[in-house]
Amino acid sequence: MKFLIDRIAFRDALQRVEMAIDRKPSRPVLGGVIVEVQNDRLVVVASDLDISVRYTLNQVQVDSPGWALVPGRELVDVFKDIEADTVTVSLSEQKQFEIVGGEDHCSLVTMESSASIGEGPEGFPAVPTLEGDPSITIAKDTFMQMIGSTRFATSRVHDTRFATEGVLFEAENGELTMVGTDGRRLAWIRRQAESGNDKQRSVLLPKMLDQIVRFGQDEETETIEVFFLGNRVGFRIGNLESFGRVLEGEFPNYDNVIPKSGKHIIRAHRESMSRKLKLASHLTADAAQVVRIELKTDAMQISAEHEGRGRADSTIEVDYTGSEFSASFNPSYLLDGLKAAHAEQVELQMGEATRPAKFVLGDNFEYVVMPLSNHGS
Amino acid sequence: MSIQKLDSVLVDQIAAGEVVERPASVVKELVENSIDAGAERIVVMLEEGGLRRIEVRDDGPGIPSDELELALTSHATSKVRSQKDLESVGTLGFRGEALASISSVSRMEIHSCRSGEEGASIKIRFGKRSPIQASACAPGTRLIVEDLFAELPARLKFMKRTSTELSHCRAWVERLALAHPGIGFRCDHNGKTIFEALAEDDLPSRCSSVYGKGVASAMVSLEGEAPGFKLEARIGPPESARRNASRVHIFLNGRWVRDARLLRAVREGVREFVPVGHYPSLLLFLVVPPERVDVNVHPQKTEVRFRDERLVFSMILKTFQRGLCDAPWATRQVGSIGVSSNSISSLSSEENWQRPLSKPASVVSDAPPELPVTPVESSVGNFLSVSRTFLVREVPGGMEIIDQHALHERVNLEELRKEIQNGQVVSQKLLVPSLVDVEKTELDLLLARKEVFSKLGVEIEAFGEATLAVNAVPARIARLVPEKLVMDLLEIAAEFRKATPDTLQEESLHRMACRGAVMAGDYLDQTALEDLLRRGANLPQDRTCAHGRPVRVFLSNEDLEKAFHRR
Repeated sequence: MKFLIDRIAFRDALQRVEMAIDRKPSRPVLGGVIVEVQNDRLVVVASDLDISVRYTLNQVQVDSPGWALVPGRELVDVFKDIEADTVTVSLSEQKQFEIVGGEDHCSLVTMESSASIGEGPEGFPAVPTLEGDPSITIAKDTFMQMIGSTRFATSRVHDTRFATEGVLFEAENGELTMVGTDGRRLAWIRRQAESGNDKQRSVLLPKMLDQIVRFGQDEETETIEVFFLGNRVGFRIGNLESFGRVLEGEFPNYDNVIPKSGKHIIRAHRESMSRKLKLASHLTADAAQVVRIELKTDAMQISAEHEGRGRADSTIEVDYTGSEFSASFNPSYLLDGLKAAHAEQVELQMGEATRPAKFVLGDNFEYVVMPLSNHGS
Repeated sequence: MSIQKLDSVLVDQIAAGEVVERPASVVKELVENSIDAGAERIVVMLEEGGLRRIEVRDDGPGIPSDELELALTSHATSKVRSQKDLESVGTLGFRGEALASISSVSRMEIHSCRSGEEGASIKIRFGKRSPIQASACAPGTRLIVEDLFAELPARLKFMKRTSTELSHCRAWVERLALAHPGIGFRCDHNGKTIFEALAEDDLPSRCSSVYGKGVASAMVSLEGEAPGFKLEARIGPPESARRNASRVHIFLNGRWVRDARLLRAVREGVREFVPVGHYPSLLLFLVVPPERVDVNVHPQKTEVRFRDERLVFSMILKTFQRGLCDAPWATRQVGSIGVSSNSISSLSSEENWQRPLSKPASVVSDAPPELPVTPVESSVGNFLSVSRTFLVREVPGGMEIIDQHALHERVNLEELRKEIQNGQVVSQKLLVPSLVDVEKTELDLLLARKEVFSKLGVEIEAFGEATLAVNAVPARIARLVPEKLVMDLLEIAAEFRKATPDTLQEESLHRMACRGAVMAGDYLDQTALEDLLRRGANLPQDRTCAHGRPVRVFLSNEDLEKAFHRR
């Protein structure tokens, strides 16, 4: 194996797979990166047990084909700091991964290597090849927006029973739905796909989505192809192929959770509501944040009190003619939703003080927040 | 065999089984006699852990020569005269058994001399007395016990190694010394002094001879009172706690006692201040009207029965809990944690702070980059997060290391407790009730305590025969997994099946505080860290977590200098 490559291009390729290099590998191979060259094409692959990433690079000059499995972290770091525009990589007779760039020379130990393409290293997790038609194809910008609209509502706590750490992906009738929830609030968004009619449902690790959000933007393509592969979901964005493990466990039935409509409906300006909420949240207890929302004729009042510190009351003018109503919420939950809103104008629908409140934050983008209740008083 | 009356020596030997268990029992009985007699200086000389020889000398008034023989008869005593006396025993001994029992299982010699009179001595060899002889000795009493149990092979077999027996003997001398600061004690073993306490000692210096100087100087005094009862205690810092009760000394009206129920009251009292499963270094004096306590439960008199058990226990509990909150190691020793950044930065010039920190960061460059080994500047001062577990920062006079989990747990506990007191518990409704499968009996157990849990912000209800639905969880504890919460509550409900709602509530609080806390190794961003530190600053006590483990460790400049051999 021997090839000549642009350092920056190789560095960027490695950064794309970096997230899939296991930091504390249970088996040494999981801490490695496969570098494969053939027909003026370079492919780098990394995989821990949660996600796998494959990246293909075409700007490479291959002298002789082959592949090698090398320590991932070291390879990434070497290419960050080596001082040369072009780098020559070759496999020595002692099976060392030799990197020569300008005055610098590094040689990395290979865990496995071969000159024949076809068989991969033993014990390295199989990374599927994406063949055939994708389950769904969707505009990249839409996809990114959907992740941004749901990812924030996922749970940060590992729950053995519920898969709420992840985002639910549902494809049906040419539409893609994403849902994020932590059991206390839920964000739901549905968008039309460009093509694909499969009916599929999987919960994906947030780590996977973060990887796509971070590197998907750089790819020169307008669409994302999604492949549901049973226990994995694969994404193809230009030269980047990412695979994420599907989370096991139940996912709450969002249809039952999202109220169809509410008795008390107001429309408010997103910015001003955020500002009022922020103001009130300054006077909530540090950990147990509570703001009270009261609806009166043509006004919404947001108030909070921190015992021993003071209280805040602020009012927003809104169009409201219904009966007086009040409920308490965690202001962070409300602020999270407003921040993710697509439109400047949001709609808030509430039924009873003990029932969920629904925000309509955009077209086919809804956010449900459970209220707080006070005990003992 | 026909029934016969036992001869008196045999009776004494049998009785000795209860009183004289090992050399330490002899030391205890003899030293107590000396104290009861009014001695000011007592010397204990041991050989081979006391198995070979025990000698106790005192400078008390001595035994008149004509009473020497009587003293050796069982049930002969100068301490109790009538049944009425027995109700209000003020002396350590009173049964009149000690000397008779010991003399029946050893070679014993008594030399005694009243001041201004001629001394006398008597020898007893395993119960056989020789006549009284004149003796030249100093005023006071000198008792020698040799070859304990030598003629009772069955008993001798149960003796442990010399060092074990010695430590038991020494423990008794220490206990008695603690209880009697006005009396001088010395204990020698094989000719070497192993313990000494001067007659001029006050209680603090007596504590340093027993607990060591470091612990003794950090001890905190507590006082409590209830009608007719009095309590005085000195308690050592959490780090001096031990897994066994060897450092707990409870004195009831001057008598050392080891009572399981008293110990439980003590543990309850120091809970949250001493690690779980540990006993503190504690000196506890209880003064109880003699007629309201029975010490005559067992010949060794280390068990007691109170007439007003609840009163005594609640006095212990209250005094401890109130007093410990003010203890220097229970509150922040080093100013408030919310110390303004100005005072911090004035202490730590830019150079001092930056240089040592930038180095380790580069050394550990192969560590994952998001491990925040970076100094963070904030309104709570500079701090450094190490291994995502410890927060290190400079404070006036040294540095402080905080365990993030322990601090968070303590913060949760105090805040929750306050909210419950004010009836302000806020609970967060769940979108979908969390369903947890339990057994029918478990379901009933939990539902019967529904009210208590609801006060804590946990709303539960039955969902079929063997499923529990959690509708709401405490809002403040964001990291709670409902299913785990139910399992915890179940465990607590089962363990404290018969407990009062208050106890149940307190136990549940502790568990929730711990479950809801960040773990060691959890990444906290700067805002979260600052928030945590600031909340910690508002607490009444934040030295220990709810399990009694330390929250913060303070290393003074002096400690650091010592570590670098600058001192």
